[in-house]
Amino acid sequence: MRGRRTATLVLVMLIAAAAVAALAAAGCGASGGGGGSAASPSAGGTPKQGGTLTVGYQGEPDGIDPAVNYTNLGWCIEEMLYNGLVKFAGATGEAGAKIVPDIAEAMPELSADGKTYTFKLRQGVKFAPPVDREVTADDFKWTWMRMMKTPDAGMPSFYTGIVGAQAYYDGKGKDVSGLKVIDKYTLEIDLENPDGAFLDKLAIPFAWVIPKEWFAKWGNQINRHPLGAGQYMMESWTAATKMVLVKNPNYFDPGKVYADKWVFDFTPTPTRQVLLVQNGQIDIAMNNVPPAEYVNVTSDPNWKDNVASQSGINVHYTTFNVKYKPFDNLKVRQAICYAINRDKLVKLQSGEATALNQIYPVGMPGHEENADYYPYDPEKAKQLLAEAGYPNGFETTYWAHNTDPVPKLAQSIINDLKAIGITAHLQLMEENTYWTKISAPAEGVSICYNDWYEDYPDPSDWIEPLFSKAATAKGGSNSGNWVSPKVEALSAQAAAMPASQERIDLYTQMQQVIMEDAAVDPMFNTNDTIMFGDNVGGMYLHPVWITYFTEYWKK
Amino acid sequence: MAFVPPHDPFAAGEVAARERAVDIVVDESMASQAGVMWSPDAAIIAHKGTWHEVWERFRKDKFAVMGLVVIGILVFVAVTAPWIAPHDPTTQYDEGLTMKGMPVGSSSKFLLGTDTLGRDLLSRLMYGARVSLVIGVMANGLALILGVIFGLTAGFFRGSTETAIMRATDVMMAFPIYLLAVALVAVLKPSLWILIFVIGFVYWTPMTRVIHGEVLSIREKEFVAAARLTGCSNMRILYRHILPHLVAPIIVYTSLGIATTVLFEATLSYIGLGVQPPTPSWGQMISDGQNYYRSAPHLVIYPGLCIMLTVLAFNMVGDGLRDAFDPQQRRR
Repeated sequence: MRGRRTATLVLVMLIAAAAVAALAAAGCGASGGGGGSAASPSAGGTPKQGGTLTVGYQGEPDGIDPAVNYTNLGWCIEEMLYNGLVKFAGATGEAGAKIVPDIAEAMPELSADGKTYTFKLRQGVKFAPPVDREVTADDFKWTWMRMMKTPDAGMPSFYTGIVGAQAYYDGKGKDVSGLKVIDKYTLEIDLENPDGAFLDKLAIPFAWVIPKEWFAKWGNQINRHPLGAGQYMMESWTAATKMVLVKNPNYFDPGKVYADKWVFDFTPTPTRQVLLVQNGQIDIAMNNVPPAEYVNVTSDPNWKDNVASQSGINVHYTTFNVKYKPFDNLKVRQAICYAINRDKLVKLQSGEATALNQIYPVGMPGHEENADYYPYDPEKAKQLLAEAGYPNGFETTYWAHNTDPVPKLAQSIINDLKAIGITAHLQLMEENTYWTKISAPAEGVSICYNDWYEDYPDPSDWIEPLFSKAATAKGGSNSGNWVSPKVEALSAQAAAMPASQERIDLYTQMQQVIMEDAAVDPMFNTNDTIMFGDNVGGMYLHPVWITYFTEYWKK
Repeated sequence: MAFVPPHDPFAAGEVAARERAVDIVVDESMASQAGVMWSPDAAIIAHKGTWHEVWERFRKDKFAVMGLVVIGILVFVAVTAPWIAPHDPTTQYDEGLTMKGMPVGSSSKFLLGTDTLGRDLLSRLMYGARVSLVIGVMANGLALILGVIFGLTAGFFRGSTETAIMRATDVMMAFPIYLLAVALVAVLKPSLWILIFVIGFVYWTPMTRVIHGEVLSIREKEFVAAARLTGCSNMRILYRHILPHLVAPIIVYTSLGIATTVLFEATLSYIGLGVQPPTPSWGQMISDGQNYYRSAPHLVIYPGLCIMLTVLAFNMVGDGLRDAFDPQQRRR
């Protein structure tokens, strides 16, 4: 017994000594972070084929059905498995938003009135095994009609401008007459009105082609068993753990398929992803470099050139669900807009974000220079709350997902709400199930953290998915169920106009309506900061995909 | 660690027990004739002053005394936290974060530095002590009460009651208690009282087993038979004759149990099912700071050390008490 007691004491002393040593070594906290902006990678070198690349992300997609999934992770994976008539160019910045042909052999013919697109498909584009069949114009018509009838479809209203589509979507029509299969390889699309963003809407996964016999076999379970005509096909998906994609032997341009295999690891947290990249166990850390590691990584001479970054075209905001009291009260919403400290949220992200007090970030047309909606003013917030009938505040639950740094930001927001008398309990959820939970009508969620990333560089991509009536359908992204007849009218007007400054001005007007009604509280837009290992060739960030995996190769 | 019940210091030897049994019978009948309440404790205290001996043996064990000192400091800090903590634990200070939004290290304003949101770490540790101690002690108290009631009932009444209770205990022990606690808390929504109830509810089984075993041996002793002969009711036997002999195991397992329940609370808080932020709890502080383990490890080390020292202190006191109650027992 004496022996055991002494052993315990020695163990305690060793642990204490180790702890003190670790503390001393770590320097307890703030290191002199000198790393300013991260270096952008040089996208040079010749692509090589072969090899395996591994990506880390915290969480797995809640299904990868191209008609439904509306998350960045889901889209990046779908981009590897599926393809469509056109795609975004492989470049950074504005050049990356340019549309180029994919399954279509050339850009479409557009009629003089801007309402009819005629696409000629490449011949010999085949679906992956075991379907093994050529893609035809009929496949596109079938895919889009199926998409409009899919429960929880992400954004069917992008396509209801096709003649006959609205009636078909509403269950009043049997066919979409605007989709005309002229012959096996020719598709004609007739729109009700000209739409300057229509080609963009064909370059995103909702419009990508699915084989109908595969859907006949799996139904909506194709979200776990994807199969398309893209560069890769899915070899395996171990739930919540790992997904393996391998080359599609039927892909029509084999020279453009670089790595033989992609492995997605859905387990590591953002901090652990940094560690894994530094150890060479993964090649790309797909979550942003967390604030916890940002200062260290960017001041480390070995790693500061391994962070690709760009100013993100996105908005992170707080959603108010106007179906629940007291968020149906304008003054309550406005009070919260005044109460949240945006600069603090930027600081908590090591400065890798920009405070935003309007819905359009810099870089999105429609952005208002020097707009001053709802500056930080807790006194004004308290006053408005009292005027709304809540002089002592109220209790509520603030929802957020649990990927770093969101829980930290949510705690700062809750602290700001506490300062004006609102007691908010924090409710965290795993990220991918969170997006499903807060999609319209967001049952049980009255106020939550939300974000939106650019699908294509046009303000209609902000207004239609987030603030339209159509987007309040189940599965839509108008999480707050907020509808405004004025915005509906302006949006319809703008959608029918050709590209021009007048059209953009209409979108700015819509922003003013949205901000004056405090439909949401925009807080900031983040920079995309992606860490990658030395094995990754051709690394660059894309304005829409952020990580455009099919463009990278293994060195 | 097997639950070896501590030796009962109050029943050393068959002969002594028989003698005492006779004393008790005589005293009982005299007392009941005189209409006076009587208890065996009086005889025992007069016999040798055993509590005093226990304390003497405990004092000689240096580690146990160190543990007691640590517990004393902990209780002091927990009780006086609102007065001695340098800051409010929930205030997020602007100067608590560097320009780049990282926690600051030790400074004159923040003695142990700040956490990821600029809150003072030392104050949060002090307030965290309150949460850990309150939940640890009360949850263990609940487990204790449940354990004693069930163990006594099962051991004393035997028969189908015993079978029912002990089989129920076996069923409870088959559940993985952490998973059960997680499921219960997730359904009931975490709050202080829910946590106390849940932790106490999943933890009563070891105590039941120990008490049951002890009662089985005690009820065979002569003084119990003697008490029955004089016509004592079951209740009187339980509370006057058997319960006092359970004091030793109860005290020992209380101390050891608090170590477990404190750790239990820290685990639940770590996975987000403990007290809700911004109320600080050591487990929650580790969870908040874990992503900073490479850049600001003090966020994880300090709360971890606190948990470790607390658990160690209670374990040492528990071990010391067990040795103090029975110096003859050979240790493994």
